[in-house]
Amino acid sequence: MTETEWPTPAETWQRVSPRYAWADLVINLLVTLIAGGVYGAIVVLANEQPPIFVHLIVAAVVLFLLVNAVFAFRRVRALGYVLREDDLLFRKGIMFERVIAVPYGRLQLVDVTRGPLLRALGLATLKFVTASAATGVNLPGLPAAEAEALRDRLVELAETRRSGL
Amino acid sequence: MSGESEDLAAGRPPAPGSGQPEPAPVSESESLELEWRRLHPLSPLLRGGLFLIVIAGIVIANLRDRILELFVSREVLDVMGPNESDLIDFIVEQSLLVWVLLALLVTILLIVGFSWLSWRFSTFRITREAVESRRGVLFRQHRRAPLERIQSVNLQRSLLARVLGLTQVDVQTAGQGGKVDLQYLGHRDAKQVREQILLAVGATRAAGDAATRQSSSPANGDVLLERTERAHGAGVVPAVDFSGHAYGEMPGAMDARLRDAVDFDIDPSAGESGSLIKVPVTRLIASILLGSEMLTVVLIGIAVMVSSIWFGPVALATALPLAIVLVSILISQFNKGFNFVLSRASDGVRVGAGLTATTTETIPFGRVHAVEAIQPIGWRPLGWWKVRITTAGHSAAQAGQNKLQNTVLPVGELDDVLKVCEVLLHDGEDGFEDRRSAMQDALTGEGRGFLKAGPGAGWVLWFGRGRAGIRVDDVAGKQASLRIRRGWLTRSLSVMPMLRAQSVQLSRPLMHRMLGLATLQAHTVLGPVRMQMRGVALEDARHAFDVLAATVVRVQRNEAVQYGHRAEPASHGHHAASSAPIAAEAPIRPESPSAAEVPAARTPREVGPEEA
Repeated sequence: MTETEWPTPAETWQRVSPRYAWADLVINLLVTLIAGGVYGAIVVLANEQPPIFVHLIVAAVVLFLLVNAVFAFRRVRALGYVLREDDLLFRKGIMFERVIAVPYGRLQLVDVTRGPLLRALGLATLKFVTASAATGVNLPGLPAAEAEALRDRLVELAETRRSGL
Repeated sequence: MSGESEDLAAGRPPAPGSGQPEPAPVSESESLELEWRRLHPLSPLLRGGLFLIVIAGIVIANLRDRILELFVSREVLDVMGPNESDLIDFIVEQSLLVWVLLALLVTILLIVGFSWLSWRFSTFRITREAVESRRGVLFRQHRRAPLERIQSVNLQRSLLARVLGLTQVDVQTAGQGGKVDLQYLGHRDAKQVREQILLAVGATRAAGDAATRQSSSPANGDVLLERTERAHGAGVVPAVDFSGHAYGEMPGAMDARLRDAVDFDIDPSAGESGSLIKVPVTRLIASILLGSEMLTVVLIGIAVMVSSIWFGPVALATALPLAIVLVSILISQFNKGFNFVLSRASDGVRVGAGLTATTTETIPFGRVHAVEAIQPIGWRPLGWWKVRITTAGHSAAQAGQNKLQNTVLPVGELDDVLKVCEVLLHDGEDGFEDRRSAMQDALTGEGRGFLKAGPGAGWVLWFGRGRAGIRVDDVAGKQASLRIRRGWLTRSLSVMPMLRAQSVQLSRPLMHRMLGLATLQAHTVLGPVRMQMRGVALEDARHAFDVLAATVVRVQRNEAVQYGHRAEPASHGHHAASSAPIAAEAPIRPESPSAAEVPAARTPREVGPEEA
C-alpha cells in the first residue's frame, strides 16, 4: 500500500497479525490438494488420456492459487484499523479496496469468533454489527488476547457514545 | 427538533444509570391505561371472518333450492334442472331433524364460547414505557413495544372492518417482527388509542434526559399523565373528509357510522393550516399509465407480439404469468394510491390511502432515516415525482398487502415534493426558503454545490454521469444532511440526515481503481433508499469521506450529549463540561469549505451544549 497517508498517516494503522496469512495459505493448500486429488482420480479412472480441457482447468486453478498465495501476505497487510477519537476506521482489500468509518455510538454488537484454523494459530476474528447490514466490518486475524481487549475497549466506547438509531 | 433521543438500538445492554430500566412489572398506578383493556367485542367475528364466510357458503349451497323456492315458483326450477336429492329432504325423511338442530346449536355455542373466551383473553394497555398486548387462551402471547422503539402507528381497515366500523391499530417498532397489533377496536376508539400512544412517545422524547426518563421520576410522570388526560379530554376525534374538514357530531348513530366508514383520518389542524398534500385520482391514473411499470407491460406486450410472429401462439402463453403479475402491480398501485393524503399532524407525519381497504400511517417526527424522490422518464414532461422513505421498522413489514410500503407520496408535483421533504426532515425550523430553493435546484436544476462525477466516470456511470452528484448540506449545523442525485432515464435525489448514518464507506472496485475514481456510500438501516455515489474522482472522494465521517461523528455526539446518553456518572447538568475536552480534541472538523460542501452561510441555529 503506497497511499496509506490517507485518511490517517501510515504509521497509525493497526495491523492484524501476519500469521493470519498462513491461515489463508493453508486453505489454499487444501484446495490445491483437493484439485490435485480430483485430477489424479480422473487420470486413474479415465484409463486413457483425459481430454485437453481437463488439463487446462487444472492449470488455471493452480495458477490462480499460486497468484492468490503470492498476494496472501499483501492482502493481510492491507487489513487495518484505527481507533480514532469518535469512530473506528477500518480498511481492507487490494483489488477491491474499502475504507469504512463507524462511529462508536453506532456499534450494536462486537463479536469474537475463532474457527479451528485460527485457533491453531492463536488468532481470532472480530465482527462488528451496526443497524445497517451493509456496514459488514470483519477484522480477521487478530491475536486472541488483543481481540478480546479490543472488544472490551469498543464496547466501552460504544457505551459512552451511544445515540438513537 | 433535531430528532429523537431514544436508544432504539436493539441488542445493546443499557448503560448503567441511563437508558431503559428492565421491563419490570408496571404497577397499576403507574400505567396510563390503568387497567388492561379489551378489544372491541365484534373483533373475533372479524378475525374469524373467513371461517364464517366458508360456513355461510356451505349452508347457502345446501339451501340454494330452498331459498330460490321462496322467490320463484316450483315449475321454473323444474325447468332449470331436475331437483337433486338435497340434504334437508334427507334429514327430514330420516327424522333426524332434532339431532341436527341440536348439533348445530352446540356448534354455534362452541364457536361463540371460544370467540368470547379469546376476546376475554385479548387485552392491551399503554404504560409509561411500552404498549403491551396479551392474547391467546392455551398459548399465551405477551407482546411489548417499548415507547422509544416505536417507529410508526398505523390504522388499518379492511373493507369488512370498515362496514362493521372497526379498525386495527398496528404499532411498528424497530427490528424484525417487532409489532404489536390490536385488532380490532371501534374506529373512534382506535383513533384515540393512537393519539395516546403518540403522545406517550412524544412525551418520552421530550423528557429525553436519562434521569427523568425513568418511570420512578414523578415529574415526568405528571407531564405524561397530564398530556394523556388531555388526549382523553379531547374525546372522540370526529371523522374527517377528504379536504381535512372535520364533520360535526352526527345526530344519529347510523350517520356517525357512515361517516366513520368514509373517514379520511386527517388531522383537522392540518386542513386548517394548509399542510395537506393530496393526490387527485386523475393524476394517479395518469401517473400509473406513464410510470415505469406500465412501460414494462407495454414493452413485454410488444415483445410477445413480435415473437408470436416467429414462434406462433406459444409465446403468448409464456408471457401470461408475467403479464398477470405486472397488471396486479398496476392495480395495487391504484388501490394503494387512491385518495392519498399526507398531512402534518401534531405528533408526526400522517399518510393515508386506499380504495377498499384503507391504511393510515403515522410516523413520529425524527424517525425518518432517508428520503428519496424518483422521477421515471414518463413523468418528466409533467414534472411529477414519487417519494419514498427508509424507516427502521418498515423493512420487516414490507410483505403486507395494505401497507404503503415506504411510499409517502405516490405521485406529486415539485411543490408537493418540497413540502413533503420539509415536513419529513426539517419540521418547524426556519430557513425554509433557503432549503426550498436548494432542494429545487437539486431535484431539477443543474445541482449547484454538488460534487460531480470525476473525469472518466462515464465508463462506470454511462449516461447518468451528467446528473450524478453528492453534497453535504449544512455541514456545520445540527441538521447536516447528505444528498445524492443520480439517474438518466429515471432521475432521483436521495437525502439522509447525517444523524441517521450508521457508517461511511469509500470503496474502489477494480474499474474505479483503473480510472482513478472511488465510490462513496453512507450506510443506513435496511430500506429502499441507497445512499451511494459512484465515479467520484479519488482526491475529491477522500476529502468528501473525511467531511462525511467528521460530520457524522459531530452530529451524533451532539445529539448524544444533548439527550444525556453519555453515561457520565456526573449529574446531567455537567454533561457539557465533561464532554468539552472531547470536542476540543476532535480529530477532523469540517471547517474549510470544500467542493463537497457549500459555505454554510445559514441562519444561526440552536447549538448543542458543548459548542455553546
